Amino acid sequence: MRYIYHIVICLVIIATCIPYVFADETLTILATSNLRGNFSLDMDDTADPLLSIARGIIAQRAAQQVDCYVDLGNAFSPGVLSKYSYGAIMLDYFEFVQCDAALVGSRDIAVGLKNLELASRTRPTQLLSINITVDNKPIFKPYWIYKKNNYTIGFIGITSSKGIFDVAEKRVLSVSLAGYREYLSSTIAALKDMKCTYIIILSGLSAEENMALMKEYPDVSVILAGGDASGLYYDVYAPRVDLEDGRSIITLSKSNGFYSIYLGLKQKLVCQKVIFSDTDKKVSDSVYIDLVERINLWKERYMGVGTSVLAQDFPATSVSSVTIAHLLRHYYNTEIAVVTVQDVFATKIAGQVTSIDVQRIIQNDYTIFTYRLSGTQIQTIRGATSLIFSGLSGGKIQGVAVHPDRMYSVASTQSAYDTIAAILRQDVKSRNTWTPLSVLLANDIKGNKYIANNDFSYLDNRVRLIVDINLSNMYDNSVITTDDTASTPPGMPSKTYTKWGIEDSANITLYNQYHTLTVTPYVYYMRQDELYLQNLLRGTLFYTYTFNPYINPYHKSQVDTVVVKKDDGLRPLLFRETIGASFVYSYFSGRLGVGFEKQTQDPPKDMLYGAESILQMQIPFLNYFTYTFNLDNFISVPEGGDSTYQIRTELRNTLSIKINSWLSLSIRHRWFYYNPLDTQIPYTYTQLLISLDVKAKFKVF
Amino acid sequence: MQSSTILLSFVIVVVLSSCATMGTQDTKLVDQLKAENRVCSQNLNLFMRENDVLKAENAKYKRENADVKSRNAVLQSDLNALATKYKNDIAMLNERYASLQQKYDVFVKQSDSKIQELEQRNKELEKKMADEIARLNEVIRKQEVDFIKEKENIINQNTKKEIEYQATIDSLQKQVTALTSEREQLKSRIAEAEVLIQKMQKELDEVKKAGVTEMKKSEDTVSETKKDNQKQEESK
Repeated sequence: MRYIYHIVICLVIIATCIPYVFADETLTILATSNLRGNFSLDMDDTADPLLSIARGIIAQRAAQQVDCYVDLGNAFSPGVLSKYSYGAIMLDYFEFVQCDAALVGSRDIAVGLKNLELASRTRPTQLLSINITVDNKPIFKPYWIYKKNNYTIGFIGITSSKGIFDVAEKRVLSVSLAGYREYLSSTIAALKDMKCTYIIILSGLSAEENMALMKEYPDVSVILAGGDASGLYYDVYAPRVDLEDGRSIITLSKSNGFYSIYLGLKQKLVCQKVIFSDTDKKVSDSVYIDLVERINLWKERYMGVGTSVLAQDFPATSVSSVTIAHLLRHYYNTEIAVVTVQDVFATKIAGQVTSIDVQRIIQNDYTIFTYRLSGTQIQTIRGATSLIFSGLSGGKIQGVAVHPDRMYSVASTQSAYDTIAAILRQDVKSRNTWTPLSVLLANDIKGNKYIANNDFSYLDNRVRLIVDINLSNMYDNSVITTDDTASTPPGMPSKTYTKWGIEDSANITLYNQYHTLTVTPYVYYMRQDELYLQNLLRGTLFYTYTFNPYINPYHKSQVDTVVVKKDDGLRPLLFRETIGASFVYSYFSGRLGVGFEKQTQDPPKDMLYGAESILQMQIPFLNYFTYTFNLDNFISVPEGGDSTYQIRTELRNTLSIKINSWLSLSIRHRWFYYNPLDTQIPYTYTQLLISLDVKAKFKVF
Repeated sequence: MQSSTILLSFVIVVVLSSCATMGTQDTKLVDQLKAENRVCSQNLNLFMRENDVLKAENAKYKRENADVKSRNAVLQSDLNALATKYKNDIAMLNERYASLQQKYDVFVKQSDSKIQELEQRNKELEKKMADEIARLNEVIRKQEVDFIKEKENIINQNTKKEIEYQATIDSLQKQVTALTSEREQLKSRIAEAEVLIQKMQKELDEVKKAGVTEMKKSEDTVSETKKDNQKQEESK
């Protein structure tokens, strides 16, 4: 009886202990995201948001068992203190709060990859990224392993592709942001070889990319997404998505606290619950005290530098992306300037301005680039919502419509340059000024204070000089070898001749948004042996005052003469002065004016008063073709006026086929009509010319 | 002439483009150097600023360490002084202890003899007390016996007296009863007398008119009657 009693007692004890022995274990992870290095500059630790989070984490560790703590990216930027320390202050922070691993986010790249890598060497927190590579090898550790009892959990870090590298690092380190697929398979295989039970991805990818990753890699147990991940699925925020096979994608994007994630270590890793905590706790732990002292040391150092005064009594100024772009245009004398929306944090400055204010304004402190873009390229990038332009308004630059083939000078931040290159899908040749944007702004605040201008319209008044050269040359040398008595085959020339000709012009234009002055020397000379077929030398001075987008007044002075004196030794000289209105609309442009025309020598003639009408139509089509129609008409009557009149009309139809940017083939038909005043006998000349044209457009300044 | 002009211009263009190419190579080298300079200067700034913070922290720890050391020295000297003081105090206390120990030994010896003496006296007193107690107990016992006897006597006497008194009470009670009945009889007689008096009053009034003497006689008769009654009542 006694034995039976003992057996029953033992069975009861065993039955109560079984649930505890074979209970499911839980992996408790603390996680933070988007900390941004956002320390306050106040020495009072109760007012610092990141120290508030640290207190919460330390209190949580004291209250319950925590297995590990990870950060999901964007911890190092754009806080001014973190930028000053090149990320070292955040690594100190992670060391004190015992962060085991931190994902390198896209914004973290701004503090410098080499800086991060150097600073992390002496600290226990592992920086993870599988796809930031230097010479095709990951610069940071691709994974981190945590062991709990019999379980091995591998953490892999994947950085978002939105990051922008400093061009200096791109050149020196050959750094690039590769697609994660290149390395993820091999990394998962390596973790499997190390007997990892579960694989957790720390992801900065978008929601769609995370879903695709889960579908493609069934070995991935859980994705913890933060930093750059928005958690938006079809514009709906879903912080947790559970797949059919039990795996989960958890998005942790809040930055003002920390998350506690409880994962059940079962056959699969099961997310039991996720709790967000932003409650401020009181902590008197010695670790926290040491953390505060370290952070305060950084703050003191930064305040010593950051509080250096750049200007006193600075006028109240709203600094924004647009004003920064204006500043670039001012200093680099470019026609347009481009910055991205993320480059600048719009702020008002007034009174005493310090370096801290500048650091707060400039988010991406990369160097400034200058380069040239064609009109076509500018039209392509114009619609990008992430780009802010200065100097480009309504498809016009300095009041002049953007010409597809003309090159325009551009100054931009590096991030804007990278964005433009990505949109155009080509490498745009550029010049790096090696001047960071913060230095430019700081020097301006210290010195000229142009940023305080209320009106930057003076930039459009800057004068530009462009030179358009059109060269159309022909050369024909025919040599006949025959006997004088031989007959000439039909269609062939009967004797040797040399024929050559040039029709060249250069438009030298000085312009700004209100004034345009063009000087156009023009020569049309064609000669066959001693016979002058064409002999025109023309100079035109054209001025227009631009105050209306469609119709503006103009003044033109034109002088016509000959290149080579005529056989009779005469060199006629014809002056024409006209004023009128010019109009531009779409493909059409034209002028209507009145003036006078006088031949002053060889022989001198009476003054003629007349009206000028000029019409031009230029229609590009099928990428490489351009049809041009030109009409130049001048009807004049003599001084004193009688019923006689003189008409000079020239009509040109040209079809151009573009071979490359400076070479084209033209088929040109010219019709010229002249009805002189004295004889009233009309003169008509038609010409059909096929020529190879060289066109060059230069932007001098 | 014309062909040589064209050829010359072509050569000039080629030379100028090659010069432009050379400038490009120099620019690339300059850019590379500037890139390295930027990266290196950032790294240098990082090291310098980190070093500055660590130096400050190190200086702070050194100061704390120096403070702790100086405090340690002060405490050590305090400890030494206290140790010396402790030794002196211990020596002094030991001396006192020895002297007290001697006194104690002497005292113990004296105490022992005194104690023995007192014990002896105590025994004697106890014996004396015991004898006295025994004697007093005997006296008490005897007195108790006497008291009991006397008590019994008194009780007997009292009982006899009680019987006597009870008999007296009974006889007196009887007398009282008799007197009470006599009184009642007298009361009734008084009542009758009063009626008679009233009747006689009337008659008196009638007689009054007739004469005073009849009335006086009547009044004398009434007063005598009342006196008789009073006497009778007084005699009861």
